[in-house]
Amino acid sequence: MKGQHNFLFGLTNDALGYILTKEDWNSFERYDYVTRTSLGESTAGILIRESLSLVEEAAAK
Amino acid sequence: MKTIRFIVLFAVALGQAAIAHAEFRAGIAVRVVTPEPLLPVSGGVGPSNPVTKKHGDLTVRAMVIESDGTRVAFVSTDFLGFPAVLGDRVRRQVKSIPAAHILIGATHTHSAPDCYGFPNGRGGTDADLEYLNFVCNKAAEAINEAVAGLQPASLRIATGKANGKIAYNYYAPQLYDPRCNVMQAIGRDGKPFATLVNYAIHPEVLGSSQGVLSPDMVGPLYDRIAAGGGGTGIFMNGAQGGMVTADVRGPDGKDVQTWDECRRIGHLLADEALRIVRGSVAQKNPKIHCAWRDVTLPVDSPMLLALLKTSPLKLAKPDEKTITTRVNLVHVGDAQILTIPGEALPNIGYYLKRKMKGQHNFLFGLTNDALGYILTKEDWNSFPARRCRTSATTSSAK
Repeated sequence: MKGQHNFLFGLTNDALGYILTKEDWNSFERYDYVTRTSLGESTAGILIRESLSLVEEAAAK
Repeated sequence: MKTIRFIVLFAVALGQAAIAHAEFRAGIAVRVVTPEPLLPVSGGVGPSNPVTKKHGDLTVRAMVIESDGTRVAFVSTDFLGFPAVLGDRVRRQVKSIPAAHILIGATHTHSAPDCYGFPNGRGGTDADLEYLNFVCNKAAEAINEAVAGLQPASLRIATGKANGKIAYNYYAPQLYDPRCNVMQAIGRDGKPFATLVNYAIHPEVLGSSQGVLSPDMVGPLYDRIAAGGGGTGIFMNGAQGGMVTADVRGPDGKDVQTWDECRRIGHLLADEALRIVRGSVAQKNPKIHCAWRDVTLPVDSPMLLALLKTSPLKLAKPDEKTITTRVNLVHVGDAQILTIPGEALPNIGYYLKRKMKGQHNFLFGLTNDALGYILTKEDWNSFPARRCRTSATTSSAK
C-alpha cells in the first residue's frame, strides 16, 4: 500500500469466511477449521491480486 | 573386416547389457567425517564456537538406487547446510552417476563445522577449507562405495504420522508437519539393509554454544535404526524452516539441551519410522526417473547477498544479484521426491506435498544448496519473529 498509514478494514462489504494463502489452506491440522470455513484455496490469491491492482491504479492517477 | 566390426559391436552391446541392470538394485555407504582435532561449530551466520568434546560422530552417507540403467544417489551430510559449490566438488569425483542425479542434502545439525564460510567478524571466516575438501572427498568415496555395493533389492515405501514428542514449531507450536516418509531397501535375504528417513526438524538439541561437536539427534537416530533391524540409516530433512525444531520443552518450561535428549528424540523418530514402514508391501522392481531444473532466484536480502559474495567458497557470482540453483524431481516406484535448496517454511512443504503426484511424496529440504529460509511473499518481512534476514528473496517461494 502507498499510504503513510495503511488501514485494513477486515470483514467489510461482505463476510466470506476465513481467507488463507494457498500454502496455508488445507495444511496444518490446526488449520482444519479455518480451511473448512473458507471459500477455497484460491480466495486469498485473487483478493490480494485485485486489491493491490487497485492500489497501483490509484497511485498511477 | 565387417565380421570383426560386428563382433566388436556385439561385445560392446553385451557389455552395456551387463552394466545396465534391468532389476532394481540399491546400495548404501558411510564415511565418518569428524574432524581430528575437533573444529569449532556453526549454528548460523557469524563466528563459529569453539568445542572441547564430541557426542557421536559426524558422517556423510550415500544411498544409491538403480533400475534399467538409471542411477540416482541420495547423499546426507551432518552439517548446517551444504552449498552447491561443495556438492559440485563431490559430483566431479563420481564418474558412474550423472551429476544431476546426485542429490546432496544436509541434516542441519547446529553442532558441526561451518560449510558456508560465514564472516567471523575479524575479517575472515572460521570455515576450514582443507577440512571441507576432506569432507567432499569422503562424500564422493561414500557414493562410489555405494555404487560398488549395489545389490538386488525391493523397496518398502511408506508415509505416516510420527507420534510422540519429536518436533514442534517454536513460533506457533502446532504449525509443523508430523508426517514422516520412509524408504527401506530389502535384500534378497528379506532383511532391510538401508532405511531412508525424511522428516522436518531442526537438529539443534545441543546447539552451537555448549562446546560440543555432534550430529545431534540424527546420530542416535542412525544407531537406533541399525539396532532396530533397519540396516544403515540415512536422514533427509524436510521443510523445517520458520521454525520447526526438536521438541526439547521440559516440564518446567526450560529447554532440555542434553545428549540424553538427543538420544530420546533420535530413538523415538527411528522407532516411529520403523513402525511406519513395517508391514508396507515391498515394491519388487520399482522404476526410477530423475528430472531436474535449474532455477534462477533474485537475492533481495542484503545480508544474504553479502554472505554469498564474501564467502571464500565463492557461493555467488560477483556482479550478479541472482543465484542459480537446482531442483530435482525423482520418481521411485509409487513415490515422488522433490528437493528444496534451502529451509522452506512448513506451509510451503504442505502445499508442495499436496500438489505432488506420488502415492508417497518426499521433500528433501536443504538439498543441492543451502540458500537460507524460503517463505511465501505473504510471510516474508511480516511478523517480527520471522527470520527474513536469512532468506534470499521475496520471490524464492514462488
